[in-house]
Amino acid sequence: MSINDLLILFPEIMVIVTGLSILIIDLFISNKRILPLVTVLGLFTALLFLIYQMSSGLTIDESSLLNSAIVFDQFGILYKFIITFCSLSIIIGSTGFTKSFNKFSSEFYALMLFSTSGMMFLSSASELIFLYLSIELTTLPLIALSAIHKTSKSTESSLKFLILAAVSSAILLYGIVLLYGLTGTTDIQLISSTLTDLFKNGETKYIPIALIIITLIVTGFGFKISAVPFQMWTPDVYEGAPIPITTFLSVASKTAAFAALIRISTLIFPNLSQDISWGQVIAIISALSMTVGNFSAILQNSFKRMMAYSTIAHAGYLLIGISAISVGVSDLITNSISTMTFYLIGYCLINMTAFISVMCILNTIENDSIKKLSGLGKSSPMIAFCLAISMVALTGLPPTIGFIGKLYLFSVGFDSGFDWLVLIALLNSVIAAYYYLRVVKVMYLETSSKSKVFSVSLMPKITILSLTIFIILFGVIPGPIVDITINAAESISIFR
Amino acid sequence: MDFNGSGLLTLLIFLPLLGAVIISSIIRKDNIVRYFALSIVTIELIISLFIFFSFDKNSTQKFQLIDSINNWISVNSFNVQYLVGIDGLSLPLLLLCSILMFVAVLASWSISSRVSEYFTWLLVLQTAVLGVFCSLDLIMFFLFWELELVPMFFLISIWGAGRKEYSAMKFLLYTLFGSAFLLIGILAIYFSTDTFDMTVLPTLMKSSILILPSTLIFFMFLLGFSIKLPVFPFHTWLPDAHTDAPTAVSVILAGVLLKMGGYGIIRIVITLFEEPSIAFAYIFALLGVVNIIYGALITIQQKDLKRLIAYSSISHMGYVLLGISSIAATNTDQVLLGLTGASMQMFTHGTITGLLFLCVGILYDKTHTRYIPDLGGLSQKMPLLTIAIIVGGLASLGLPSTSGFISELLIFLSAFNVFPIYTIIGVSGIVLTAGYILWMIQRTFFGPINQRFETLSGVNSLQALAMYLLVLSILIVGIYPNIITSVFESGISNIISIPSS
Repeated sequence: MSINDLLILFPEIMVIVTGLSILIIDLFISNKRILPLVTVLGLFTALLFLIYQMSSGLTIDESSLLNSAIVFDQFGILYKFIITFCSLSIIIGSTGFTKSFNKFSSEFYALMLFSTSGMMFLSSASELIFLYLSIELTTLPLIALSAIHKTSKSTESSLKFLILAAVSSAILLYGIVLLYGLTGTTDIQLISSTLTDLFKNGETKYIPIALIIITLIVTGFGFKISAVPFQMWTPDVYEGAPIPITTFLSVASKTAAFAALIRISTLIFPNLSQDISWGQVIAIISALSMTVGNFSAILQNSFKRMMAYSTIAHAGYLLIGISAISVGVSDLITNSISTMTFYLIGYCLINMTAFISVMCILNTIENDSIKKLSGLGKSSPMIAFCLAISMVALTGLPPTIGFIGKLYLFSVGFDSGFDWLVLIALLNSVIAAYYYLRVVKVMYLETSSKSKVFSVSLMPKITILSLTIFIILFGVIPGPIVDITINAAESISIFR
Repeated sequence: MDFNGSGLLTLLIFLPLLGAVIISSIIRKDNIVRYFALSIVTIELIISLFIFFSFDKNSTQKFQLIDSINNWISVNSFNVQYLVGIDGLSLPLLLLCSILMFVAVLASWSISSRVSEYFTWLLVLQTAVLGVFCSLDLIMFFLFWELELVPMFFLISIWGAGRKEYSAMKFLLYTLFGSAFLLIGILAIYFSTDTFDMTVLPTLMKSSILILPSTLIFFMFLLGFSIKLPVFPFHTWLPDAHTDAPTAVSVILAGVLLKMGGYGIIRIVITLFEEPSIAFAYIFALLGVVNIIYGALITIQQKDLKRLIAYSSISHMGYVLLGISSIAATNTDQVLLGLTGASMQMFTHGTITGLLFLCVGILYDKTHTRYIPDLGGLSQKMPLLTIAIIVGGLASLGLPSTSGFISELLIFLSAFNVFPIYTIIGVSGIVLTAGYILWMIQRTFFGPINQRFETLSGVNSLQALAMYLLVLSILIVGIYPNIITSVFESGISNIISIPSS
């Protein structure tokens, strides 16, 4: 490990060191207000460094690290950037909210940072054991965080989360073990070349085991990205966890899981036998996820539960991209990775805006029924505006990044021959419009019985306003973001 | 990202959006908001008139005033450009939109709640609608098509009346449902021809192999546009949305938004899918006649003035479909006549129904009721309004020397050659129209006056200006129709000349 390697790992190291120093600072300084400051500083440094890495064109030869456990490519860097950005925005946006668990604020920040570092490793992991470890590093702090309020609901949801995370990790691990048994290595790139050899000339001997491997890995990731039929933990955990953690789960955690899933489905799945049509399976999961997610969301009264189902639906939309990868045409793979990345960027911006806006209003632990938002259009027009824009963007209407994301994603899905899936997705967007716009309706059309004045601190306001500006800006000028995602996609598909 | 073109259309499309941003962020006083919005729509009207009169009908170029930015979204397999331009088909509709927006702002003068928000959304709506008519790239077209939903949703659900939230949501969901099929159709075209560019698509579509059967794509587009027009049985959103929307929004909805459906059918369905259009022309004729008769029969039963006019719109949009059905004619002149008639019907219906909704809106402001049995004898109190609504009503039933006559004449002349039976049934719709219009006018404006309206005051000058602007346009087009028909003809002859070349 040279000094160059350390520089490459600098963002992750920065995040971990910040997390550790939070714990140490907390021992000596009783003023809790310094903690968010240190966290933001650490994340910001990591972010700047990631931007530097993104702009300095590194070549592929010097890119694999730690015995090729980590790959250093534009794809990984971009996902690390998204994750760090999410985590930074959530921490800035939740400065008002964290007062409610003042006693544990050092744990809150430290665990957030550890989980962030796990996600960063996950998005660049190129070795299956390391990937598994990163998933654990991501999940365990989140389990603790979701119980930080110590209410019975929160504890219950955290326990549920723990069990299902453990089960899904075990399933994933079993898939990894079988893959190791088949190929004799855990290095993703070596696996992919070994698999190509195993299955060349239409070999059929290994098809049963390959089927089991795919099933196990898809199931394992299905839990992580909350796709149907592995979604049942999502609404409960989202509802029970404090809002910043829900936000973090719904954006950063999902982004990281998709990063790993994209990497595996690009490098491993296509090299299995051509007889296995795994794309069709993913397509069915995708159709189920969006339909179940959207229909269930209609019935929800709790904002967090509604967003949980909406997350499931969006996982369904994103899986269209994974199905498109299965077609195996090189151009198409690049496009589908790029479009999924673009969609994820949009999705993160939008979901964070929605959650942080609601967080500003619910500054306490009280219930989060959608009815609580009534009259918001009058009492705090700015927050209502941001929330409304995020709902319009989730629906996929112009001029937001949500529209471009859907357009681009659906066109790639269509191009890859999944036209029936795109039609289902489009009809689903119509259903989704109903419950997203219901939120808008409640805010602007219903008047609340008691006129509350929300005292919202400055930082969350700045956060949601700038996120909203991004949502609209990238909806009008998507070009630069698309270019970045294309770069990232090319860097991963080059290994094929 | 290089910009090419004169920028005039870009200015026309995005000036209202700029105005909306300024209104929502800078201006605080309600009155200044009103005057500012008025000045924006006035500038828009002037630019539109300028474009209209400087339009070169004999130009060899199919599209004029093209503005473009290549590679707005550019990926190796996916290339969207910013491309706007006009031809003879879109120009009159552009003018219609500017006129009605001007009227709508005048008609909104009395809006007193959340004024700046209201005018913000109204101006955003103008950008969206103008964008639909000017877009020459399918994705741009779709973007503006969807963009129009956001302001409409807010305008109906906040400033509407009655079951406004239900109506707004219904309007939105119906249109979104239709646009889901539109997008599939657009993507199918794109992956067959590798372009979204509507200027080259008509020729490319002839030479490329479609990835889906062309009949399937044809019906997807038709479904999307039919919901907007609206065509029976997808019309149920229209009476609700029209009735519950505020006056100015009803004017825009009936006057311009419905035309987006008709425009889409001519611009995309007829132009790109010529063979299926001819093969299924009887569907246009059949649906057209069903719309005409069914719409008229329901209209007669209405007791609410706004609902009455809303249903009459369904009936009148049937004429557009009947005109389009003449695409099956063997003689190109007949096709030209029929499509010109259909486009004319869109333009004239825009001004006529806009006027009628405006009058009803003003009436409702004064009397606080739209229930016909409660009204009566209002001509004594509101002579100006009565004259305007009579002109609008007579134009609506197609009296010669009003604009309604010209369009219906053209439609019947051409459709009769192809579908005589349907046309004969369709013509009888005029009798029904005369019935409900004259009966409505008689019950509302003549006869004994209701006691509680004795103290009613007349219309103010702003309202009179808005009404008589539309009356004027109806009469001008009625007496000298060539001013509009020649423009439509130049655009449509370009569209239908493609097969012969």
